[in-house]
Amino acid sequence: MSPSIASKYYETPYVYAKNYFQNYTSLVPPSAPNGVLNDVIQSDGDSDFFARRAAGALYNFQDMNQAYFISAQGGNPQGFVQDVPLAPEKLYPLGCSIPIQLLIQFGAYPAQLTLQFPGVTTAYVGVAPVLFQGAKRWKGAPNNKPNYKYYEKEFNYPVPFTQDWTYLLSPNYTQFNVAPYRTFYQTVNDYDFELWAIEVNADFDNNTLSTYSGYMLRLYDANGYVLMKDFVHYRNLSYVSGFSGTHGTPAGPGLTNQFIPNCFPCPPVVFPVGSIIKFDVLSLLDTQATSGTSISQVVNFRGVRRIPC
Amino acid sequence: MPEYEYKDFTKCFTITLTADSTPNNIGVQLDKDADFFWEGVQATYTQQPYAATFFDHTQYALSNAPLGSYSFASAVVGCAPPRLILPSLFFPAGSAIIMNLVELSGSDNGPIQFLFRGTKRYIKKPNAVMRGR
Repeated sequence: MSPSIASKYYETPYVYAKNYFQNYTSLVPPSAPNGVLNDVIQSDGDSDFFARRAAGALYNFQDMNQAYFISAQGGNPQGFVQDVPLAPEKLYPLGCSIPIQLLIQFGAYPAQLTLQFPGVTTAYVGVAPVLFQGAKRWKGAPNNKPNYKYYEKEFNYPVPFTQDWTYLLSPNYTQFNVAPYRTFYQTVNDYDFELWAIEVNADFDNNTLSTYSGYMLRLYDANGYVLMKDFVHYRNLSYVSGFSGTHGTPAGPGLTNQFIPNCFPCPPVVFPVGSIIKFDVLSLLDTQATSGTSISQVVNFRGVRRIPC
Repeated sequence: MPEYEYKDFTKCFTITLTADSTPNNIGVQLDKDADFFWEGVQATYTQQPYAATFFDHTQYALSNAPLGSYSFASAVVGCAPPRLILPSLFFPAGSAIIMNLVELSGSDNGPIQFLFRGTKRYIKKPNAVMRGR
């Protein structure tokens, strides 16, 4: 970005996301016509958006003119095999929604995860997320420039919580009533804090849960504005425990070399001293025997403090 | 102003934690021959969780609560990329990296090897020839 442009605009991180949850009680989803589902991720209508990464259950990717930019070409029903960095970035001007396509095969959405709630009749939930990570561009000057001189020093806010609720409300899972998300907070104390990355312990520490589906996150900035349009799985956000090279879960706990590190938020988000880091958690726990019932989780907010000098 | 020479350096430290132990103020003594810029950390992934709070030589804590091993441990220490310390932290010659550790599994945990990676800053002596890096 040229200096003249940079002086007129600033960017904040954002994820345009959309999740498809498919509920069914037969062993496979009810039969439906195969084909490509055309949909859009609705624009917030407040700013230009630069998409810099596409991930999830996408089949085809289109730019703002609905021209195909990347096509799965029918080869992989799950769409892209892994994250796609978009370089150069793709611009979606103010008010322009993001057109997406998903491939429906035998009535099934291209689920990355399938939750199971065994019973007399087993409830299944297929989870097919789509996301575009990038930045919103705003006119004016950023309001996060401090009026003091400072140097930066690393700091971390690890926030623990217990994941002890399932995606569907018990006991009648076949009614498919979704449990409400839960909200957690962390006060920023002593110094202004620049959030550089998110780290979670989930896949790293839960090495006995072979069908663990994790959870989804929705983060807010210091003013209470969401940083993502819909919930995003931590494996698409965390610097550790990212999705592995395929759409499966990481190949093994502790094998961080097989994780794909995510880069979020980018650019960093500033939380002034006294503000609150707030995030919502949508549990994807099911009731399979190997999924666990009460799991200690940590979301670590990693960044730097701005220390006056 | 003295002239400086910079050389890569890794400080190794190994410890075995007894079950549920919380040893505090563990000092990893740095060499007296040069200042040290701490730029990254790696530790052994032991299949059992543990946590650490790291401090610099001014007792500045890098976190407000112990940081789980998920953040800095790897099953392939020495091969996987280290967890970067950004920006790097300065340690005067002879000072120490301080750790508070927490054993979380309820069983003996270890041996855990920490690799504190960074750069040593030597004062360049007149007429001295520094080789390599």
